[in-house]
Amino acid sequence: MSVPEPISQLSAHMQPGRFGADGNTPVLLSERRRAIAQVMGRKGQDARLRAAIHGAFGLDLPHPGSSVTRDSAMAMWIAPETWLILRDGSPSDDLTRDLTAACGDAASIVDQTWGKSIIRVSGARACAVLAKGCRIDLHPRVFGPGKSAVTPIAHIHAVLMQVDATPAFDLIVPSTLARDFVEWLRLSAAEYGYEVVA
Amino acid sequence: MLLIHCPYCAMERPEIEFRHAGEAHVARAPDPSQLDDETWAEFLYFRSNPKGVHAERWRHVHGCGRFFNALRDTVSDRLLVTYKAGEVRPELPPQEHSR
Ligand SMILES: [Zn+2]
Repeated sequence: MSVPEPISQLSAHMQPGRFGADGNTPVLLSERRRAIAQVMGRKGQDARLRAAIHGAFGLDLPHPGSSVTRDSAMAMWIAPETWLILRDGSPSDDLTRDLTAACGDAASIVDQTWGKSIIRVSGARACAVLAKGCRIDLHPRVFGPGKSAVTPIAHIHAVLMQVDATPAFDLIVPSTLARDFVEWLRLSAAEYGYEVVA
Repeated sequence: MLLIHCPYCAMERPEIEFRHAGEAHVARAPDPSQLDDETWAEFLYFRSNPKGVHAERWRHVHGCGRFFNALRDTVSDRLLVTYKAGEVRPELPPQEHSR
């Protein structure tokens, strides 16, 4: 059976190409498609939940402001007792099913795959682009790979996560606002030049 | 821009992510039907309004979503300390009052 990819709200608005100013270090924009689920621990179940996620995914649920990655799966803290679990290469039904089987009644699991869009921004000018709408200090002495924050960006509720030191950032925004968000990213990146990649 | 330390996110965050939510440590009576009107009105409508240090509830509404408490100097608008909901109001070192 073929594995259906999460449907993109953005594909028509992120056709690959080079845009904006000329230059040899364009900002790179791309959409990432991963299954996403929100895990909210129930009262007094913290230890059970951590053991369950560790057993099923090999992930140690991270502290506030950070994320952990193992193989194709990632866990990110977004609020007290609440994490996002992201996984590559599997349909969202499989992710929620695996999480529900592992956690039992230790947590509430909500599929967010179609409720969220993930946009990657990378390149030497990525911080300059984001600084136009994000008030978190992304300078390497403060932020860094694995760090994350839930914060409004360009007035849109976003989860921000630094992927590596390029720097590359993944931005998780509500899918209904993703088109507007990408529009803002394009305008912000135009003065540096940007490339939309598949 | 004011930076506010969210005790749940464990990070300094910009003030636009937060909302003020009234005075802190205002306890609701376990059985309001036992109160006389004056005491009930006191609980509902009357708040302290100090010139100086004030204990307030704040909410990290555009971040983790949690309510927490803060001591803020109403003269300088300086947030002196923030702490998690349910924790006791912290004592401030003497020099914090006079700023
Ligand atoms: Zn917070």
